[in-house]
Amino acid sequence: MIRLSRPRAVASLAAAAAVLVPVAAMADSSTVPVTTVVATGTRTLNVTDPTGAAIGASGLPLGAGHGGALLVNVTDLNYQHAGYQVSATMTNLYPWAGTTYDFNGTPIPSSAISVGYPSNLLDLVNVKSLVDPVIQLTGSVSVGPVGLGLPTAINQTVDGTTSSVQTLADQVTQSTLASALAELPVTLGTGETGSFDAPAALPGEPTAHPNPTSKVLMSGTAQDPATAALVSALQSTYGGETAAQLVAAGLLDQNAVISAVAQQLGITPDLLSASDITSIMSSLTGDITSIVGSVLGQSGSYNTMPTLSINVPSSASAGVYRGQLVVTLMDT
Amino acid sequence: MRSRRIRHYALVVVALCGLSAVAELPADGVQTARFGLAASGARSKILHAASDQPIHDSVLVYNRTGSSLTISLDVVGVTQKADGSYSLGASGSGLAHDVQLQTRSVTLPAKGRQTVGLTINPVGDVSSSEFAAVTAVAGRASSPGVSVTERLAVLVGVTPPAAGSSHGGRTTHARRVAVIVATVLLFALVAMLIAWLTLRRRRTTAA
Repeated sequence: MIRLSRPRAVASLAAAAAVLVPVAAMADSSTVPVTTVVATGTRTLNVTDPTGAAIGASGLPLGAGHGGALLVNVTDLNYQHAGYQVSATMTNLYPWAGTTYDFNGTPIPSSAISVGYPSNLLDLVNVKSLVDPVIQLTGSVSVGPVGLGLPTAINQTVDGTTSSVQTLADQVTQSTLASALAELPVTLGTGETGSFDAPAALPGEPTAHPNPTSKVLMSGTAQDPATAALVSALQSTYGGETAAQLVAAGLLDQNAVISAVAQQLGITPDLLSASDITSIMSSLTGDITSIVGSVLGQSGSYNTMPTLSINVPSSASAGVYRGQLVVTLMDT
Repeated sequence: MRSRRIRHYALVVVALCGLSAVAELPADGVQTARFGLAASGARSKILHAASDQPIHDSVLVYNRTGSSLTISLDVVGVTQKADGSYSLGASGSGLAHDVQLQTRSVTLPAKGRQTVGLTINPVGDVSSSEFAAVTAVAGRASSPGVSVTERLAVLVGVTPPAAGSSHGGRTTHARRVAVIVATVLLFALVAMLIAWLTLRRRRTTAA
């Protein structure tokens, strides 16, 4: 027989317990997997020319005869409820020596380049909030053998499944933004104007630029939109539909309906026959009464159209100059 | 010597048990048409309370294209303005000086993803929050005029200890509760075992 020394025995048993406890929990045959939906979608940045085409080999020409406009778009798809910021930094424009920057040449400073919004374009498209609605089910049901069950009035509230709700028109423009602000899951902020006083560094540039000017082009702050508008929008779409229709629409889970009804009838759900369940699902109708907790996330597309303009110094030599605008998307 | 080694193994087991309680699945984050960048776990940013120990965390980088893609990573200083917006500064400035990335460049296969570790070195006492951002760029555009480069960033923040939290909101609370419960259970188990062993030894000695 092997006798363990006390420290070894304690350590071994502690280790065994630490390993066995979770394993035992997993091996339990009565374990029920629990699933829930957490908004883990995407937030996508797209910087294009004003027509929506990619800014590719042609770059963004500045100067006389060139617009210098960009379309900056951020699109949320069931994204977690967080704010965002799109900002830009600008480098100096250096003489272009065929294949590389001529860092020995005199640059056009970034301060000669300004950002503005002459088109005043700032809009949101298809903004939706992700919420968990609360549904009140009412109606009269008869359970048991046909003709024997007494009708019982049902009045139960059930938590619905996570749903996307649109309370606003497809497009909110700058002129309608103020009136729609309370209904937005993420507000929309206008961008900063003015010149890029301090440059950012270009790759390989010998001069350090420790404090580049960063201009916010567009931003949004997460907020809880007015609950009444969300409830009203859901109610106008789904209010009065039968439980079966609400399940088909993905707004309700059938088990939740059956459990709530069984609770009011004072029986366990397994005592309900298939025909009872069919009868319940077609007899009860739902009304959306409130929202559980806060907004979980949102979908939507946010646009702005900044324009870069340049004031070329009179001392600048003739030639081709190049630089770099870096547009950054960050959650806030 | 042997008992020290055994104690060490026991500590490792307990630590592994704790880690399994806090493991999280990665979530998708900000992205362009070609690549994406996210804080690991279900977070939109990386926030930690100031510590006198290095803080280890990570970001997730992913390739959305159908071909191999090289993504350059960097850490830039960030200043919070009075209106709450953030100003992204230069590489290595401010808090960025104390944030080290495991690598500055990752080449990902088609649809590939990679977790990149980062370490926030001890920054001493901070009286107000300090920020940096991990940035990602997929190649630099080179074109006539002004080239336009899309860049993604994940905010990294170090907060004063009292106000700090390693992760956001409900996740932090749930994690703390899980860790506390796991720790209490482990201590209770160990205490019961020690008591049982002591009793058993006394009985053996008495017999």
